[in-house]
Parts: sequence; structure tokens; C-alpha cells
Amino acid sequence: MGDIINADTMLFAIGLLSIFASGITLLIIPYINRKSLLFGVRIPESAATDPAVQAMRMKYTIEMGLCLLFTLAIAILLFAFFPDAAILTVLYFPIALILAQFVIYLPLYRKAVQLKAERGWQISYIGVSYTGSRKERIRSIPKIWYILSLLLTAASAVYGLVLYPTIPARLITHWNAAMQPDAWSDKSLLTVFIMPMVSLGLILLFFLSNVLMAVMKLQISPERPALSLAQNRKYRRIMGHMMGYMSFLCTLFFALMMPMTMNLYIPSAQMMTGAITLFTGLMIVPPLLITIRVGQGGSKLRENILPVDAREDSLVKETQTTQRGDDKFWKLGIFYWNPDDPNLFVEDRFGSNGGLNYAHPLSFVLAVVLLLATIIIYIGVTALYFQGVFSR
Amino acid sequence: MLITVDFLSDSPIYIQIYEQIVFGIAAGSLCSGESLPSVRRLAEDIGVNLHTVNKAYRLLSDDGYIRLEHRTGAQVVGIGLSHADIMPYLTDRLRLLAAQAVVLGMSEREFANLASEEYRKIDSKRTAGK
Repeated sequence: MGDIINADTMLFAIGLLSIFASGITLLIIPYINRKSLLFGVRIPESAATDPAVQAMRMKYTIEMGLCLLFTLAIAILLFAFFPDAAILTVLYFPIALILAQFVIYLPLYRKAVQLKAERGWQISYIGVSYTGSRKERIRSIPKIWYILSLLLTAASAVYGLVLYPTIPARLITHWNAAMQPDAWSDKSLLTVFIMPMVSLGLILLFFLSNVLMAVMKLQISPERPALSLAQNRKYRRIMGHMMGYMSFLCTLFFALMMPMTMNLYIPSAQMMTGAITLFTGLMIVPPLLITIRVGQGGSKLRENILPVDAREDSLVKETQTTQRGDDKFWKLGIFYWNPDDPNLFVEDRFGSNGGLNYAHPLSFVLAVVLLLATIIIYIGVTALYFQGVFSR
Repeated sequence: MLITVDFLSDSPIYIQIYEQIVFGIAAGSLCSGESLPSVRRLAEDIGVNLHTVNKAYRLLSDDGYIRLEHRTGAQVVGIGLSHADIMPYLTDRLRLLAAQAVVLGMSEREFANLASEEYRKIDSKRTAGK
């Protein structure tokens, strides 16, 4: 994809969008998080209405919002003076935001610990477990999106293969922002198959994240176990469809790019910009809205959309107790370390994704691999930038 | 099936786990051949010691409700297990209940009605699930 939309402005626009999207995802965390979590500390669900709790959530969002505006302003300034450095904006500004988030989060975590002690919120007297297996959860992944994506990828590969003899021997592989060609190369099967290959990789990536989400440890609220379980089921279903939709959207985008990579049809600059904006919008906005709507683990889904049998024994127990005495396993409220827990993936304490149980033997390997991969990508791209690969 | 344990209850936690699994099998929430969570997982979920869950599982296995195997873990045996071993235990519990009913001044009919009503409740839950 990089070959086609490598113009600085485009990169900068994508950079701004990614900063904006990661900023928004970060600042809404307290409102997506389970009601029973306050900056990584477990509190009773009924404490969500406590003015101190509400004030803390608000404080975080305001500070994070200011931080986001500040970061966007710096990014725009940077672009105005060094348009070549757009790639660095894309790379480093989201990281800066995450670091800033940590700085904002930490005092609030400490305050939450303190508040919990002051209010005397205690450990629940009810423990809940669900007997369903992980296989059952993996089986419930909506596979239709992935099947459709694979079919579409196969179709676009066939399309490429069939039309391969008709395309010119020398292909344009690069256009500038005004869609004027500025790089060429000899035609090869690779130029034709690069798009289906990229989409195949993406489909695999989305499917893998879907599986990871399915096997993630079930968090069941002891205050309303049946409701919580039903919410979780619905949540996994909705999120599965969301990831499937994203996988299909990417596949569709790459399939539509095929005529362009094969130089059979060259869109105008306006059309290209429009298509990319539409694609990015469709990729970011609906998932973000859905995430906000359903809440962490489906905790914001209301009873009326849940099966009837989940309603009967989901009476709210108005207890001033927290759900689990598991705060001690959450270092700084973010890092989970519990040697007694056989789960590798657990729901985030502060965030809307999943994280590792760092006490699990496998987690060390995974964390190192991920960290190394990230560092290599960052060093690689930064080195390429300083060698002038991205400048013209 | 959801297993819920009340730490404030008078009955010990391993008995609560035991009873809920028996209820689950009777009500059809747990089917024959279904796997139960591993001892570690269940202990972690509920927030109790490994030994507590182990004790419950061993008791369930002794009474024939589940099969404990090293590889597959705990598996539900299901409805219609051979009840020769468990009959004396069942009679024992029933004797106590009958004595309590007599002390309460219930008639034989009332006691029998109560018993069959409870039986039907659980049984209909299972047949409704199928």
C-alpha cells in the first residue's frame, strides 16, 4: 500500500487520524471500563455514582483531552516546518500519547487505592465461575466474515492472474499526491499478487485477534452473574462481527486497488483521497462507536437485549462490597501478575482490550517477541527516514 | 453453567461446589461428557484455595457424578449412573428430612408432595432444556 499513497500529505493526514483515534480511545477508557473498575482498582458497582469517583473519571478525560489537543497542535506545527518528517509523526506521536496517559493515570490510580481504603469498600462474599469451555467460545466466532474475505481475496488473485498477460510490461508503482506517476518497475507476478498477499496477512491477523478475544479469561460480575455472563456472550458476538467486518473491509479495499496496481485503471487524485478517507472513516468510526456503546466485556449492554433466562436471577444485590480481592495481583493497576491463574490473556483493568498475565511462563516469551518486533520496526523505519527514503 | 459460591454461607465452600454441580447435572445445565473447569481455573475464578476445589471434585468423583482423569480433567458422567453405592447416603439424608418433617408436624402426604414437587421442578428444567 505504501507504494501507492506515499505522499507526505497523505501520510500526515493518516498520522493526524491515528493520533486522533488513539487519543479518543485513550480518553474514553473510564467510560468504557466496567463500572466496578476505577483506574485499575476494583470498587463496588454501586460506587459508580459516588461524586468522588465521577470527579476522578472526569478529571482523567479532561486532562487526556487537553493532552490530545496539544499533541495534535505540535504535530501540525511539525508538519508545517518539516513536511518530510510526517512518517515520524505517525510513528512516535501515538507513543507520546500513551506515555502522557500513564503520567495522568498514575496519580489517579493512587487516589483510587486511597479512596477505596477511606470508603471501606471490601471484598465480595460471592465467588463465581462459568463451566463452559474455551472451545465453545472459539466455536462462536462469526466465521462468515472471514470466509467472505478469503473468497474475495481468492477472486482478486484470480482476477490478477487472468489479466496478467494483458497488462503493460512496465508498471507504474508509485504516484505522488496529485496522482502523477513517479516510479516504475518491470511487471512481475509479485506486483500483481502483493495486494492479495497483504489482505491474506490482514485476514489472518484479524482472525487471530478474534481468537485471542474468545479465549480471554471470562470476567463475571458476582453482583449479577447471569446478566454478566449473557453480556459477555453478546459482547464476544458483537466484537467478533466487528473484527470480521474490519477484515472484510480491508480485503474489499485491497481488492478494489487491484486494477490500480495492475495499471488497468488509474483514479483521479480526488477519487483516491475520497476513497482513502472513506475507508479510514469506515475502519475507525463504527468500531469506536460500538466499543463505547457495549462497554468493557459488554458491561454497558442493557437487560432487554439479553435472553430472558438471564434476567430472572440477575437481581442487583445492593452491597457495598467490591467483587474480588484481586487488586494485589494488579501491579500499578495495569500489569497483571498472578502465578495461581492459569489464564494467559485477561481483560484489561484500565483499557478496553486484553493483556497478559505476566506470571504465566508463556507471557514472558510473548512480551519479549512483541517488544522486540516493535523496537525493530521503529528503529528500521526511523533509520530509513534518516537515510532519506521517505523524502523526495 | 454458573457456579456461585457464598463465602458467608454456613455450608463449607467445597460442599457448595459439590451441591451446585449435582444440581447442574440434574437440571440439565451440565451434560454427560461435558468438561468441568480445571481445578486451578475454578479455584482462581471463585477466589478459593486449590485444595477446596480438589476436595469438591474428589467427593463428586467418589459419588460417581464426575470422572477424574489425569489427561482430560473432570468430566460429567451424566444422568442414570449406577446408584447402588449412593443409596445408603441418600436414604440417610432422607431419613433426616423425614425426621425434620415429623418434628414440624407435617403429614406423610404433605412430606411426599413436597418431595415430588421438588423432584418435578428439577426434572422439568432438564426436559425443558432438551
